[in-house]
Amino acid sequence: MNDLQIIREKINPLRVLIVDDEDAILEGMISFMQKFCGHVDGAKNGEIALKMVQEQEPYDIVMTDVRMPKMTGWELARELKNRDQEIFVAVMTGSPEMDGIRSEDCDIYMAKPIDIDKMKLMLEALIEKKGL
Amino acid sequence: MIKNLFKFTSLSFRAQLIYGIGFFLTFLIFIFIYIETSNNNTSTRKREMTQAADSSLVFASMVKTWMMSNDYVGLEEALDNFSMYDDLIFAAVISMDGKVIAHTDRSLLGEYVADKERILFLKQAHKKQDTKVKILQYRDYIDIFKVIHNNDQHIGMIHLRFDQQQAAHEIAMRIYEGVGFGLLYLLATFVVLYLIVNTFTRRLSSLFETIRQVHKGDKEVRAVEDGTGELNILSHEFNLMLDAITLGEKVLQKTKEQLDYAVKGTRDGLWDWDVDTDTIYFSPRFKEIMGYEDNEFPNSLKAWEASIHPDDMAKVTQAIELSHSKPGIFYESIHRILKKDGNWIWVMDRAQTIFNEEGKAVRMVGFYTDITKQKQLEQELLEQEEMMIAQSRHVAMGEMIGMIAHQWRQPITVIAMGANNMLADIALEDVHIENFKHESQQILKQTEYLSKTIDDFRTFFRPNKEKDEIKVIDIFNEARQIMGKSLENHNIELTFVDNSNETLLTYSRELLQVVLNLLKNAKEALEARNTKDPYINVTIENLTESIVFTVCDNGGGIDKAILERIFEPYFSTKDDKTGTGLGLYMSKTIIEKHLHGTIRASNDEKGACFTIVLPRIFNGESTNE
Repeated sequence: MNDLQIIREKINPLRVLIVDDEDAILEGMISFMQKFCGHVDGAKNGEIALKMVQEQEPYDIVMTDVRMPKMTGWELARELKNRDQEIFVAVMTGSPEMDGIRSEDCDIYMAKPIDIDKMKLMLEALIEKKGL
Repeated sequence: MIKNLFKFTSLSFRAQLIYGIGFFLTFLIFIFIYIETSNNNTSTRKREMTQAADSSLVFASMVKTWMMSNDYVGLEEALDNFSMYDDLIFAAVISMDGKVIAHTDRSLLGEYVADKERILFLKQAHKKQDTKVKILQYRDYIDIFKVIHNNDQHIGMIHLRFDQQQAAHEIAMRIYEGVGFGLLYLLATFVVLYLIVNTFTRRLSSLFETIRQVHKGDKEVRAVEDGTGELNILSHEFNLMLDAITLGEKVLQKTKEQLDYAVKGTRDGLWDWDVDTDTIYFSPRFKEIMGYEDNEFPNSLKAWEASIHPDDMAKVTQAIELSHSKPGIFYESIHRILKKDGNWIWVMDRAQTIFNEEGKAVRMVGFYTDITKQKQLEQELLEQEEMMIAQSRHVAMGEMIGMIAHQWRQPITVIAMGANNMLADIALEDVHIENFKHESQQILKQTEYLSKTIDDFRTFFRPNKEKDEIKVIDIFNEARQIMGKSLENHNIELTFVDNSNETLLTYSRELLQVVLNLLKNAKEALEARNTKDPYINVTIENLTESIVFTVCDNGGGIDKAILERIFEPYFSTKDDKTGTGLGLYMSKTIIEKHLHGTIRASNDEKGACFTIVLPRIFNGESTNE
């Protein structure tokens, strides 16, 4: 088994929520994560994402875009972290602006465009945090 | 004679009066004298003759007595007594056979008569035809014949000769007196006439003298006015006339001066074309504009025509013909003319056409204005403008690259995502052909989109030389393609309300530049003011000859204090990084100068509105070539 196959073994039972206002990206991210995890959901914006987190079974991983209408990715990440320190939050950003961002606001942030190596790094960090 | 008569009429009024009246009076007096004298002469002669006839009767009766008594001595005595008459030259008694029987001159006694008159008288006496006195009057003497008869018997005749010289002398004296008197009268008449006429014509002469002086150029002199009468009225009227003429001349002079100053002041060159005779006058300044001295450029139409640039000739001819077509159309033309030094200069040529009563153009008077400097300035301004347009294009290009960066991020992410998915499938050894196909299609779709935005970018910066027919809404759709993403990123809602279905013939790329600039400004205002629920609203409407569209935002509007200045070049409210101050200035330049429309900024209750009106078709040429 190669590295990715091992990762898939470890994280397969985890629940994933992906937040992005761009349909094409949301779709792409969902199909990528579906290769690793059994349950992957998508949300068009931060508000929907928060609602889904509250109403449904808690998610293990939330991956969010930064620039979105109504609520930015960073706001969402901060809100999620405030509620549950255990949740793994990954922020994907297209801009290099990091003003006012604290390290505790998220578990990892990734600069777009996201490639497979960056995803691998993220998943490894996830495994480490979850102690899998 | 006729010549002299003409001379008379050409004489002065005074001389005519004097000669006319003088000669007429003289003529009358001479007739009078002639009649008087000849009457006198006739009566003198009559008296002489009567005297002579009476004497002959007395003498005859005396002679008869002596003859009857045959007393020849007594006859001689009687003759002697008779010869005491002053005027008697001689007295003779002649017998019927023609023999002188008694004579005051004794030497002639016994002679027979031989002269015609006496023989004729004797013959008549023989026939007893005439017994009366026969008187023959000559210049110097009078002959008197008288038959002496006793009962019915003719016994002889007498012949008396009286001297006439005394009478003739008297008559001559009388004629001399008449002539002398006539001459004296003539002299007196002329003297008196001269005095009268002189008094009469003195005023007239003074008037003549005044007129002569006026004629010589003295406009201040006036005729003497004194007393009353027709001449005084004439003088007065003449003075009034002079006043009016002087005033008129002054006004004319002033008008001429004003015109001269005006013409000199404008530095314009005057020309005056008599269309009928086809002659033309050019003022010295006119020639100076062309670089000629007054005597170097002929006053001829041909020279004028030759100086006009061949490319402008048709335009000039057309303008002249138009102004000749009917009154009220002024001729105006801006064209090039050839200077003496071979350079072309620009002139503005303006003229008025003068028509005769039949409505035919007969004259044109106009001015040349040298506008070469203005033309140069215009050209420089144009070049400056071109430079600014180029500058603004570079700015727009930079802005566009920023917009494209936003626009491209998404497709690039999607492409990367697709590749990632396929790589992940390979790594997980979970390859499905269907998945690969789907991902590849997604990638192709995105690259198509990228390629299109590149095309947009390229067309935007390709200057369009030809006008194209487009709909305004298409320009806005293009703008949305280019900057939609960056608006979305700021949650700005861009809506179009298109009530126009009409197309527009215009330079679409330039219009796109303006539209992008307006959308960008609205976006920046909304962003800077952090407006809640920001939007940009575009409405497009039809007008009869044009299309009007407005771009409104809800960003709070433009500060009233600067509303007037926003179209000025290098005027910006933004910091140096974001604002060049050229955007709106260039928008205005493009709309007004290139697209022949108008652009206006205003505020509504929510924010700023830009209104642009464009003619649906315009024939103007873009200067951006």
